[in-house]
Amino acid sequence: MKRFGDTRIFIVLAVLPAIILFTVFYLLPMGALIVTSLFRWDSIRIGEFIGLENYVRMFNDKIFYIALRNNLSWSLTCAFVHIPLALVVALLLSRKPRGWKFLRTVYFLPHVISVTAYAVIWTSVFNPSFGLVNQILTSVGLDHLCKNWLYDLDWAWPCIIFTWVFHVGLFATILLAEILSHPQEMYEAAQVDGASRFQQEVYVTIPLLRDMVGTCIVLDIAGGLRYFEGLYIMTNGAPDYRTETLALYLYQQMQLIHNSYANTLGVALLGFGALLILVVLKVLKVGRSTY
Amino acid sequence: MSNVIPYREGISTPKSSKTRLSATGGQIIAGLILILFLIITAFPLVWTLISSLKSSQEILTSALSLPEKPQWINYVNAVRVTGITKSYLNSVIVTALSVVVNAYIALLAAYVFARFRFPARQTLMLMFALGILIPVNSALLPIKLIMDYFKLSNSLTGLAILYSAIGLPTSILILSSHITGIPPEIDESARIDGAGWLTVVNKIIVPIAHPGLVTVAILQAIYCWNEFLFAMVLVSSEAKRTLQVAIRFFVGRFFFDYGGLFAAMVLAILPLVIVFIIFQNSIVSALSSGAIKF
Repeated sequence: MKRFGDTRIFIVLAVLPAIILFTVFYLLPMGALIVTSLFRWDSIRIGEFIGLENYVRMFNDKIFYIALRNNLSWSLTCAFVHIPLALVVALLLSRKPRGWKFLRTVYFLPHVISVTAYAVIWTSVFNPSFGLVNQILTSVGLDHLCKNWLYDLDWAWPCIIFTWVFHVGLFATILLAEILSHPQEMYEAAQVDGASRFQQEVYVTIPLLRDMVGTCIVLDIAGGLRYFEGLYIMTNGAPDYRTETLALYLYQQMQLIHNSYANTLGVALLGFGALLILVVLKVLKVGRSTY
Repeated sequence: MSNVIPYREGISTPKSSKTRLSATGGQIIAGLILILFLIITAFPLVWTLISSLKSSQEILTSALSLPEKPQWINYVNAVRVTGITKSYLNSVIVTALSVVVNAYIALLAAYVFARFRFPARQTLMLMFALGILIPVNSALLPIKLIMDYFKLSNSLTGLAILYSAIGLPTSILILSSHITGIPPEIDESARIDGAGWLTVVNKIIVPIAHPGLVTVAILQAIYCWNEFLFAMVLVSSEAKRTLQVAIRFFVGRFFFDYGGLFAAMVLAILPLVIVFIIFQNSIVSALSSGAIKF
């Protein structure tokens, strides 16, 4: 038998690498982000303390509001369209229709394919000259609806949403697994009481899924706030900033060496994310059991 | 271990189990919805695959038809124009390195969280759990400066270390739920036989928690293989570009060779699709183990 001290040393040494990496690449950058947003920093060297000047500038920046509105619209789509669609698909798959495993595999594929490659594919799909959308419209005689989709002022953002909103595989898989783990007795009891298939889903399955749905919405929103490459490749904010988001805008500001303003936008992104996630957790009352 | 998904057996209505052919209205609607999702998901991919075998002329004039004669030359051009092999190799190096580093560091931490009670344990676990939700790219610039400071910029190793760090919260969460499921008596008997803690982790936990490790490795591999922003911002030399960044740069190089562009996309997509199809059962079981929950 080894001494007790041996165990203590092991605990410290085993957790240390994870803590160091987390500190260096999560905590330190987040701290630096907040601190530097209070300084002038438009060249290589950091300038003087300017207090909240960057924040004043941000709240007077029209593009910031467009980006914020788009992030909000994206997040609302997550909560009210994307996850509900995933839930519908999960419920349908849980009845195990013929080929359900094949369907689950295909639905999941978009999550394995890189956003970068997808962005190039979508750019082609929406391409005005040889794109899939316009070719389909032309072949059914709706030529007048053809347009340069990703550069149309009204259609650009809806098209961006379209590129991911039907990719429900990841969350459908998570929800499906949760549904399949529900004890059968509940369904048997409901069946004995004369509940129809649909009633079973509404009164038994969905209430049991509340926590998991909440988790999915939170993960989905967090992923959306992180989303960058697709927008960068497809439109880079065009047309007329209609497809700008905070993640994209902060990158563009960084390219212009507006360093501290980019960091201010980073703080806004963090704050906005935290706010949304708190709202979801509060509204759905999830997470109380764990923390 | 939660490898087997418990199915909802025995609760199918008599109708669906006896006569499969006579579908009810509800079943028809259900089928239509599932097929609609199938089409929306698969169509752009199938279109890309088909277009990769067409001549550019065919793509422009008849985007919806099948190729008259498969143009395999597109793939030859794709490899030649993009120099895709080099960036492929870079991506493989970064991914492999990061998967190993991430999984082992996460394993050690997860083992400690699952087995020992010590002060700050709760705080640390909460901190890692919240890490999953943080949009890391909000701190793009600070991370770039930190990477510069440690001389990790413009280096594949540096990128792998950064990815390992970013993936830690997810990996730790998944692994600690796996390890919690392993009876502690197994480690204790090894301890009585005189094994050190590290030996216990390497010789006993690694084999038993194998499915969890595979899952963590796959999720981390998907993340590393597909990561774009940091790979673009942190790597400046062309020789060290990863595949995703290379895609961004070679799109412009095809000019009007659309067939070649589609072929390059297929080449970029294919490896992970194959890996996923091989390992999909363990991914699905990971997502079902309830590890991802708040």
